[in-house]
Amino acid sequence: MTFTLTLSGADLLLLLPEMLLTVWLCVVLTMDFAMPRLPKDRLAYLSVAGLAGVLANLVWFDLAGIGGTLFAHMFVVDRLAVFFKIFIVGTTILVILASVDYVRRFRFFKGEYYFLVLMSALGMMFMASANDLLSVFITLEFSTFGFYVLVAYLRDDVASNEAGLKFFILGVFAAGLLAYGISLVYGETGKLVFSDIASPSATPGLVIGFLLIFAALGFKIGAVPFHSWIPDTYHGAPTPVTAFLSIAPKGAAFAILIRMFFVSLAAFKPAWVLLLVGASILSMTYGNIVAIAQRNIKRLLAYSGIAQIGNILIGLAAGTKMGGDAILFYLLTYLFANLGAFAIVIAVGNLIRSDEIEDYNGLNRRSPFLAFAMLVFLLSLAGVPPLAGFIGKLYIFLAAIDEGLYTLIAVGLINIVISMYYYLVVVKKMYINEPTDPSPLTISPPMKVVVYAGLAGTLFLGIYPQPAINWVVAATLMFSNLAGPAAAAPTLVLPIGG
Amino acid sequence: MVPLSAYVAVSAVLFTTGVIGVLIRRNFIIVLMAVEIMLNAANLNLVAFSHYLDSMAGQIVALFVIAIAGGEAAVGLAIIIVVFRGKISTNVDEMNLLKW
Amino acid sequence: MELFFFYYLAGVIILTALLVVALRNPIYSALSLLIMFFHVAGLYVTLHAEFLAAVQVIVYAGAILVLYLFVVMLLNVKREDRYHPQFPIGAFLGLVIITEVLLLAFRRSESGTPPMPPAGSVAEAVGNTETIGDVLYTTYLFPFEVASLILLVAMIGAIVLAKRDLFEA
Repeated sequence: MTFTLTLSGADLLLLLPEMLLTVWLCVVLTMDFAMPRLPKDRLAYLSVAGLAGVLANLVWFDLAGIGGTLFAHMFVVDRLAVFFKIFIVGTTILVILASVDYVRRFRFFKGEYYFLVLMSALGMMFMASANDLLSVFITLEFSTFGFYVLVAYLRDDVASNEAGLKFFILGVFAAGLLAYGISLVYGETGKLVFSDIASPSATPGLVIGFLLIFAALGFKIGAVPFHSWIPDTYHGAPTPVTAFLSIAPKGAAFAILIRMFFVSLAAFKPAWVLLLVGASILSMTYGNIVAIAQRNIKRLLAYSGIAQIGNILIGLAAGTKMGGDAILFYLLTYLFANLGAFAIVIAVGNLIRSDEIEDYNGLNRRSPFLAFAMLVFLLSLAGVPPLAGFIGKLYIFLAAIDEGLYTLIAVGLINIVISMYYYLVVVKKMYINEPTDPSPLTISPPMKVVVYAGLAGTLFLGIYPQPAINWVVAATLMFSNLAGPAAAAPTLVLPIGG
Repeated sequence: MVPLSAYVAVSAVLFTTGVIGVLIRRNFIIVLMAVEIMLNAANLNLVAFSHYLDSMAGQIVALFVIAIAGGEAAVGLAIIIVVFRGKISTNVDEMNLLKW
Repeated sequence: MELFFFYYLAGVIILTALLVVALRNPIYSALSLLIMFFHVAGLYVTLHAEFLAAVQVIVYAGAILVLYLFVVMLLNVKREDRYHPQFPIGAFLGLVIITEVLLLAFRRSESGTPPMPPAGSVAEAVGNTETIGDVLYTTYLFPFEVASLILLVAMIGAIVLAKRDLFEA
């Protein structure tokens, strides 16, 4: 029996961020049980330190143009993957900082919380590099396992338990759909790697297989009609977990969606454009309209998230390189604005112990800083200049105009107007209504860091977006062969490096 | 000689049974069992295609699907235990605390 | 002879799957699932995937199903009193989908796909387990390592959620 495995040092270098994170999370877990007297905040800062190291590593990858494929094209490190990994690690750092106060309220299993957050982050980093269907399945399930446990983490809270159960049932159902879809695609093409499964003939098995895979990924991003788990899960889960769940898995799932649609399905573009246009219109409209009636801020942000996903799907429906750039840039703006908004919700929730919108009355009186920050974040989500959200939406609409998706743009613009209503209702309550209890609110240093980071990101991306735009344009360089729908099927060559 | 389409038909019927089971059963544990049926259908498909196409990839994917199903069973049943500690029934319709 | 085995295994699989979904007592459902797992392993053997058949029995029937039975017994799950109110719609939909799916599956055979080759050339020469071992540790090393992390997460997650005696401050 010959045993041929060739892994050189240069190959292992590609895995360095993930290996660093794996070692670090084992360190965190070990310190948790080896030093039981250690205050658990130290574990949070330890995790953040490790993640900062991983982030530095990734930035080095990006600047030095390190890249390549590993394991027979199953694991790919290109600038798109590095972008998403930076996105995920950045989100995780901010989420851990925002959870420090919240975790203090847990009675037990505080250390394992940070471990599970790091594990989910690791899974999502793997997702960003997944280049074939087996990797997609494994890494998707890996990252979701962490979330199943995190959502149900408050064992004594019935809402958290129920949220965890609903999330879990729908999650495993999606996993079943994904597995069957993968089996059908494998049956039709005999291969699993994304570039290999691009076949020009649309047999029924292939079509159903890809539809099932899209359905499973639709569950992850929360597009209509696969959104039913989102409001209850976001409402019941611990708020830092909701913040994490609303940003990072969506980004990671979009990494996979971009690769799948632009590489494997490039030949069927007219067909899937219709599908995505439909999903986008439904998500935007449903999310915005139902958000209006919400009384709980977490549910409001949940439905607003569904609408934002509808916006991002416009970029995917455009199906061009510019569409891909728009998706990446929008995700960046969404990261800062959404995480900032959730940071405020966590802070206020820690102090008032409630998440009803009524309790945000007169927030300006109690803490002008928090009210101002929330104002900035909500306006960015609504798409008001000169904030980041405006540039994001503009970019997406430009990509869609290039492709002639005028109906989609019209619906998108109408939805911007609808969404302004419920964002501004919260703003009005914060600034104009009287608070029931006018005592001032202060927030702890880690939370301040998160809010400042969100503000900085939102304002910087809105006023001076050029560096970020350059970054995302470089990240999608491999798709520059994608033109309009009239183009012939592009040559599918996996790039090495930047 | 057994044709490939027979295996695909069996797995298709199995998958449909699993999906219907998830949609119409009220007891969470049975719903999880229906999902296991769905995963078994996918595995059957994979192994059949692997044999027909003379490629090992299908069997390897099936192996990993079994591993993931194991992990899911563990986590899912832990969640169910947490939810139903002290409750009498495990019915879906009684979960209505998280409203609109 | 092969056809006979296939029909028997396929028939029992479909019957027990329907029983799992249709029976109202969870313990009966679990036992039907057990029978289904064994017969699926039998189908794997007819497809010359012996290692996978063994793994199916050991993991699915031997571990996962035992876990389900533990939980069913632990929670003392009772019989359901009645079906979901939308049961007739579900049954009708199921019939429709199954018919469509069977039509799709059998269209493959009409379009002239040849029957399966009697033996997979690679696998037969060396043996199924060795082939899987060879491929698993070389080409598919990445999912293998990720699978180990998955098991770690599942283990810690299950403990964090379900552990009862807690003495931490």
